[in-house]
Amino acid sequence: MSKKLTPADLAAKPDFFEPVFAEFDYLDQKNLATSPLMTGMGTPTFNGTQTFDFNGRPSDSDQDNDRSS
Amino acid sequence: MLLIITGKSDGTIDALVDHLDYPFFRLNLDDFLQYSFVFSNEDWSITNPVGLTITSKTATSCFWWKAFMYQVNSDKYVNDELKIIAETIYSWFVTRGKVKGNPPYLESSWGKFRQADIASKYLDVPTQKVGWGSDFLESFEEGIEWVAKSLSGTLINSEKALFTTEVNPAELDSKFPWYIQKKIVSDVDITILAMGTTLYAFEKSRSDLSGIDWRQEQFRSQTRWNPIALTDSESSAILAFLSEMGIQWGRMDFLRQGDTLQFLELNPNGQWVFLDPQNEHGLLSAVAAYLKASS
Repeated sequence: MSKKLTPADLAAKPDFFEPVFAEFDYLDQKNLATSPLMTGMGTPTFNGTQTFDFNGRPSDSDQDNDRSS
Repeated sequence: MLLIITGKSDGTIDALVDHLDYPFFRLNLDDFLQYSFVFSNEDWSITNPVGLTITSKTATSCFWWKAFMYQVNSDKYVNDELKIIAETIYSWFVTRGKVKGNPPYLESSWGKFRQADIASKYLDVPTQKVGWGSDFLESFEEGIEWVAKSLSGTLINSEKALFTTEVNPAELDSKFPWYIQKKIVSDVDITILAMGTTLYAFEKSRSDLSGIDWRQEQFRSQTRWNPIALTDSESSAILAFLSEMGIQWGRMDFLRQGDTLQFLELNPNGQWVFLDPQNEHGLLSAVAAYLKASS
């Protein structure tokens, strides 16, 4: 009998971009970056729904993950 | 004045603040030592390092945006105390009916299946089940294609994630919990951001996907999200669903299958800036206007 598949067998590495930590401007109340996108859309990533943060939690959520298909 | 409770490196709020043409105050919870903070049962005030201040007298509304997603503090005690303080100030707005958007953990109190149950009254919802054991895995009809998804999104072995993946339930290990849904074959992803009774719908072709979950390839894909118009019947059905769910803000995912929208899920605090990061379609402006409504 062939080995049954586990979640680890089906898992894939998510896209990931290195974070860019910029200086925070408390007057404008935003990060000073060469591009505002470089500070990410919810986490320090570029252009999209970052899938996971540094602690392994889904970043598209506060206990609120989303998946397509 | 609008209070935004978030994190210091949050790019969504970075993008949004350029479009707020009214007073707002950003509290980065993970940067708490930069703020002076006084909260009592009578009143409260928060001041940032350059002297911007919000008080219980000037605050008009509050938007919670992923404040707990960031590591608030490395000291667990401080971390947990700050989280309760943040919830306390958020509750101050909740009790006064001054909240915009949704509170954290909202989806946890719903569960995916309550969403699906209510959505099925108004929308097409693919068959889905969660369970474990051989009886569960043998309950799936043969001849139908199925996908496995993760409910938590938690990383496996610290680096990999279970994205939506086509599976044969008979081949899965019965000792693990599984969330399995009927596979929807579609050429187009649809995602819709709801703000009050206005729906902002976008679509993205799935033609360049190598897998079936666009999030797995989101940083490699060059395909953009484009705004679309929903039909009156689609809008009515979605708004009826949201009304029964009791929320006015959130992002919903669908797949277009012919003339039908297949409902996948509602993310009450789902990301949205990626749909229009440069405000070319006015999404950032619309969100800014929505948050202003009761400011």
